Amino acid sequence: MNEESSQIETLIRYLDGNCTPSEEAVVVEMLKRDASARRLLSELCEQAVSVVDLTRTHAIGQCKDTVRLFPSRTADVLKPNSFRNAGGKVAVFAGLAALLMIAGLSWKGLFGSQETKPLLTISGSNGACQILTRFGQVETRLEKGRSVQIGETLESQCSDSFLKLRLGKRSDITIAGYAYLQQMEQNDSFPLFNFPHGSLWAEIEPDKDFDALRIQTTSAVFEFRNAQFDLQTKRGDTRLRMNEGEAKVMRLVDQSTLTIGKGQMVKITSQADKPLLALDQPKPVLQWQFHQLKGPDILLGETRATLKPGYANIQATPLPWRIAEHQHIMLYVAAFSVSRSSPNPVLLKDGSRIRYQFSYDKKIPVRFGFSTQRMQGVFAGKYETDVSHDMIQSEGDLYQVDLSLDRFHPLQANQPLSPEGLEINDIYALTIQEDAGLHIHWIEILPPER
Amino acid sequence: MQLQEAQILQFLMEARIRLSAAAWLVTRDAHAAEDVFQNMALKAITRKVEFENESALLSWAFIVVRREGIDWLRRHQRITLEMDDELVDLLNQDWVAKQKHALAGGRLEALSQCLESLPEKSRSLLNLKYFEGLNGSEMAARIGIDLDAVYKRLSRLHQALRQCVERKMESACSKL
Repeated sequence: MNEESSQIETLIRYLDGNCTPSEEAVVVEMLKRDASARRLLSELCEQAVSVVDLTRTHAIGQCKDTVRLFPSRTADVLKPNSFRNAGGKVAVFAGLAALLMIAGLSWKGLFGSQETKPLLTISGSNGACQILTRFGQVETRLEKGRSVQIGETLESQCSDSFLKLRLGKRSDITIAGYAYLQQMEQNDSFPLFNFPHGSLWAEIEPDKDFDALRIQTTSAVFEFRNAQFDLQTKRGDTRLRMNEGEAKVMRLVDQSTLTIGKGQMVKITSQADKPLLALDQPKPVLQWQFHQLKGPDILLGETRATLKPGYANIQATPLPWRIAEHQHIMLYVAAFSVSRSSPNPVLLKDGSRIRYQFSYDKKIPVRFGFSTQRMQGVFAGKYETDVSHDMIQSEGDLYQVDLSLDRFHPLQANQPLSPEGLEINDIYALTIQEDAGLHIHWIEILPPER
Repeated sequence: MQLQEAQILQFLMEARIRLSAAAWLVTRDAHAAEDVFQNMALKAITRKVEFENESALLSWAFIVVRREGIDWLRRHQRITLEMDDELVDLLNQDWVAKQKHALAGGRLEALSQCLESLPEKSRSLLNLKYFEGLNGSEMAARIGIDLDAVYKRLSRLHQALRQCVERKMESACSKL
């Protein structure tokens, strides 16, 4: 390997946080004194954003016939990318309009949204949630009944937070875990939301204020009328499961379209390597094992070198968690997506147990938890339990705890008391305020012993 | 004389990749970097900020991009490598200076062409890293190779892109 390539490799490792502190110090010193090393770093950053630019351009720039499927607003949403294609040579006023639209706003949204009656209101929240307003302010006090304006972004920020929303008079949307949702348009009775990341559940029943809901993720656009569904999206991968009604789907990369119905699901990526197909939702299973996880299914935590064959090593990462206005405590969290990593929904039943194997340096209580949804239904809340060191068995170098469902308590009063009969979505473990050096090596959902 | 709104927009769009790159350096997330660029551009055209010339605008823009990037990290509770202030200042100065270079636009055009000419497999690797935002360990798990091999492949790809851009620039210069 030549010197330049080796220098680039060092920079990539440095940017990835994969250098030791002493290596890091050497890289920083080198960058400070050597203009050619800085040039390499700046070119690397430019290449990174250009890769994403090109991927988006390919994905969305081809969408000339979007109107076929979604005749009103979707085409407008896709305009900014054609602006990018023009390489800055378009007329300035068109550019200004496009810039505003890239930002998820519109002339109307920015300057005249008061004429439009907001369709979306907050109906409940738990944990760290916030709204980014159209003018860049952050609101952390989310009162029930607060209207959401066009251009505002709603964020659920933590593994145990969620935000419930009322759309029109009869429709409900919930986002949970680390998720964000932005209302982009509500013209022509077709409210359009941008949902780039997270998990979303919705029951949509149009009323006189809107005809259908449209949601755009990084890889697809969906249209729902009378429907109940859940939608998960992360890093260009989107999965929609229809539990009631129908949805129109358009994959952005090649404009292929599909209608999916009750009991079906569709998985969409940012590539068009497979045909867009509606699949039957698989039957639920009663068990799940940690080795099913793939990289993107690790929601929070740093992957470390494996200590033992067959075991993972995920270190809990720090997460500031808001407990009151301007008051935060630090959590150290590892969180994993069960629903995305398992081909089948994982059902909790009477007698189900959850086994955690982990290591930690400080023997302080560990909080274990998971989020749930009703089978083919809506978000059903989170369940947690604290486990002190005296309840934990030692298994060689690791610690192990088997927890039955009755050990877990619901986070909200209006949740079912027991998670029995619910589908598990995410699973997590954390310590509060103190970094116990928690590493998760194995988690297993065990079926009832019968 | 102050820059007019149309000029501000034009200069910002010309510097978009560099400003987004500066945002990426803070957030290590290309999607967030675009959001940061957009927020900065909106501030520049909707707020009462006055700029005498392109350099003043870009110096302001790089500072805002950094602040917005840090704010994005805070809002999304992400912890990335803390960048040394002196180093960030040096990089930003380099970026502002680069903008004035006569061939700056051509270099980006060349980069875009070089990216397009990469084989599908190489593009997929770069997409995993930058579009999907996987780190080295996650990429290693996804592709089924070890971490060192991931970094080696990425560094070779970045170097190949760099050399491709240089070749295109030399060829463009010889035609001038």
